[in-house]
Amino acid sequence: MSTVVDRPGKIVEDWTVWEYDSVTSTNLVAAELPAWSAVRAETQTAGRGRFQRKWVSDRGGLWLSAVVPTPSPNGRILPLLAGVAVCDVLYGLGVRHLRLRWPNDVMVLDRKLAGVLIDQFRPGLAVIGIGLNIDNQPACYDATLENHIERLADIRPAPIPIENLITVLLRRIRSLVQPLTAGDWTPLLSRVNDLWSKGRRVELDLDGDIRGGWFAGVDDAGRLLLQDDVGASTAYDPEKVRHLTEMPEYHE
Amino acid sequence: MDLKDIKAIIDLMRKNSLSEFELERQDFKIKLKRGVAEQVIPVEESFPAAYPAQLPPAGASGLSVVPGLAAAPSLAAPPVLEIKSPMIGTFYRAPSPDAADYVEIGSEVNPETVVCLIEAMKVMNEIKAEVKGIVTHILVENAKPVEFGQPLFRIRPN
Repeated sequence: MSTVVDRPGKIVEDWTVWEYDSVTSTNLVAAELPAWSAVRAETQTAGRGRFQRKWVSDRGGLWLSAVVPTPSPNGRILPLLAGVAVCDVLYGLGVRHLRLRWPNDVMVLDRKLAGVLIDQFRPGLAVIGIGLNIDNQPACYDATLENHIERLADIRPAPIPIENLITVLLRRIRSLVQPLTAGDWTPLLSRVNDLWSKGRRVELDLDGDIRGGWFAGVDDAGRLLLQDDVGASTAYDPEKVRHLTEMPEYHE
Repeated sequence: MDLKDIKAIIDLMRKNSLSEFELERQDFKIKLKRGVAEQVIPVEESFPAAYPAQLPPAGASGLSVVPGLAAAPSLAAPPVLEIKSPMIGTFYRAPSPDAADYVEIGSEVNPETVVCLIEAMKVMNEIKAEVKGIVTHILVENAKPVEFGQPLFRIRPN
């Protein structure tokens, strides 16, 4: 069972933040909460990733869920927005070599520093779940993560109070979501396109149908763009892309 | 157009003994009929699909009566309903690999029962039954892609 370790419903700027010691998943706890609520836990016992994978959420990391109104007009923007928000905050903390791997894995070079999973439990509201490795030890729980993950503590030695991190993350999410209610997502799209590792060789898995090409970002409808060897672009509906695999880059 | 305008139209119809009134604009349609019981036909509103790529909100899954199955004239055979996918994505029967499936054949569902997840772009959309009944068919395999409007479950109302 969840154990409250702090005063419930702490007000952090315009958000109400609920803090727990241990929960199954912060997204599930946030499922019934109103917009501009957030849930944070020291550890999750059933953190989830994509394709129903488990997400290791051991102590020392940031496991945070933020409830936001679903931006209109296009649902494709929200997963991208969440990645941009995390990148912006990390950049502000001095993290460099940041990039996004479609749709919203936050990478430092080729290692994953943070991940996002969104749940839409109710019409009009979305729960943005963010997992950020700080000084936790995920590879101790899953050896396959070794060499594939990054931790904030290893790239920024000065520790950051987690409360400050939560405050700036929630502030950034709110400042990105609010303009979208007016329907203008062009500035955000341009921002997200700056964060991809464009020109990288990738493979898209369209339920077993593999398409290779050079990743060229997303177009103004949120479709993935892949270029072939002569520079011709093909756009793919993101809902049909099961997975994007980045091909290894070879360095001399 | 608000309720006051609709009332004004009804008054005009009464005064001029009109039995039917229809108005259609780009994003709005209203049809009023006066009969023996002076019944008002419900207002229909439709909005243009300005953003065809838009993901509908969770819980907006379409329901439909299965043609043929439901057309049976016998009152003894209730219509069979289909829960359709409200979006393109990947269909999941359980919230996680360790968890039990949301529903099985024979499960009783009510409108609020979550029957599956549909995932796209790492957004997990919980799909609700929106109908009361018994699951008779599960039409899609776990972790398979689904199209907009694709039937996912058949439900026998109870």
